[in-house]
Amino acid sequence: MTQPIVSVQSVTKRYGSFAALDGVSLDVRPGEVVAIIGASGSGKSTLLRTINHLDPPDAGQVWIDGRLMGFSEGPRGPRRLSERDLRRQRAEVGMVFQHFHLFPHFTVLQNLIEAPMAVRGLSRHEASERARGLLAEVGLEGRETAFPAELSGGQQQRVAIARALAMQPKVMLFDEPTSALDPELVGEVLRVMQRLAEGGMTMLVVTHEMDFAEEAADRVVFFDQGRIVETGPPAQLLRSPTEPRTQAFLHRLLRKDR
Amino acid sequence: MPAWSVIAPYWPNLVSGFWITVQLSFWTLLLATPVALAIALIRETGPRWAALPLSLLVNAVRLLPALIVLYVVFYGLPQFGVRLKPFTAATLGLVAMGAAYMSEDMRGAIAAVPKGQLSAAAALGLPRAHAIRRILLPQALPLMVPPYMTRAIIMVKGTSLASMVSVADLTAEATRASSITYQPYVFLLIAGAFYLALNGVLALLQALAERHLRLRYRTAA
Repeated sequence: MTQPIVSVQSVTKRYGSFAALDGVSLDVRPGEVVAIIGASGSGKSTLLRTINHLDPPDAGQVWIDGRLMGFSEGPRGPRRLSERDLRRQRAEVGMVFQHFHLFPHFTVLQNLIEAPMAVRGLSRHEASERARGLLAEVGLEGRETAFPAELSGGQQQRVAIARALAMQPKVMLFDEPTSALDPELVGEVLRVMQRLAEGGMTMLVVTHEMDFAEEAADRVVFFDQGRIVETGPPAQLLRSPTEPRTQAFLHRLLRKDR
Repeated sequence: MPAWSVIAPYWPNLVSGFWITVQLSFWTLLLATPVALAIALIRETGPRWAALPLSLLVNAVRLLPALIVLYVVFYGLPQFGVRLKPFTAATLGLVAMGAAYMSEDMRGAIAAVPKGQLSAAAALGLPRAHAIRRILLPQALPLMVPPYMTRAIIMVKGTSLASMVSVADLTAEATRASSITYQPYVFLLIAGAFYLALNGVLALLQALAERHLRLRYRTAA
């Protein structure tokens, strides 16, 4: 049994009296692709935001590659990291958002080199070389000087994926990466993600794309009311779920599709 | 139209009054702008313990008439042993007023930048100050220019209040000449022309700045 690269341990996150996450635990092995499904408001996106501490958990721990997120090991137990060190630590985890959040005043190339230069200390030349390679990987070579507004939604999301990869993260988090896209643009983004998965990247993907979950994921996790209800291989969980709540969710989803 | 002979004796005073008005405007804007920006940034992106007292302070100042604030600085501070020259007292009062209003304008522009921008910057590991300087402010700036320049023009006109705390600015010199010569219109018209010229420069700057920003930051359609 290899050591998990992501280990979420009894994480709880509250907004006022509402528990968005209620004691969630989840281990992800290196290279594993985990699809997270569930209704809106079930806590899926909150889980991703607590993993990289964009929203630090109220209780519980997150370990990335053997390091406790948000804390450093001191002689007298863990000590809370400064904002600056936390951000450095967070750079190990790439994140792709539903609405891309590209920097609109930067060109595609600037979007990709800003953080590698500022956080990793790469020279402009090194960062640009790396960026060009990544743009080729996501099928956007030659678009370095374009501004985000000049690209389609699918192209913007592929730039956003390349931007996250430019930091050479150990894990990639995808928060409904295709939900804001026109249906005909979903495929190009999913293909890039599929290739990334085949390349051995560890991925947590919050998604409503059941086909993607079925084909690309090693494991599917079903979320409801801030808890993991059921987890299993895609074929089993999506086709013959054991929990009534999972069955009801998938039933609703299939009826909507047809 | 009265002859030049009526105006001539007061012309040097009007010119020196205009110069005082230019200086008051310059210092007021120069000092109020960074203070306002700092207040706006702290209130929008800073910790609550710092944002809360600033919001109280801004509201206290902006809800008072400007003249009262000037009187408080000019007549109030000496009670605590702080003696200021009229020019300094007027500048201080105008900076306090201007910064309070201006910070609200800037806050609006900062709040209009989508929150996801700072989330994306944080997710990439960019330090907070870097994200504010390189991601947030460049996007807020084009939204800031029109209200900022309008506020700057209002503040230049507001410097005429300094005449109430014995600063010999343009308004003070014009009203003085009027009351001595019993020729109100001519001197107020001259003063008006001077204010128009000064604010005309600001309006021109605004047009140039907006054009420059449109070219430089092609923001999302």
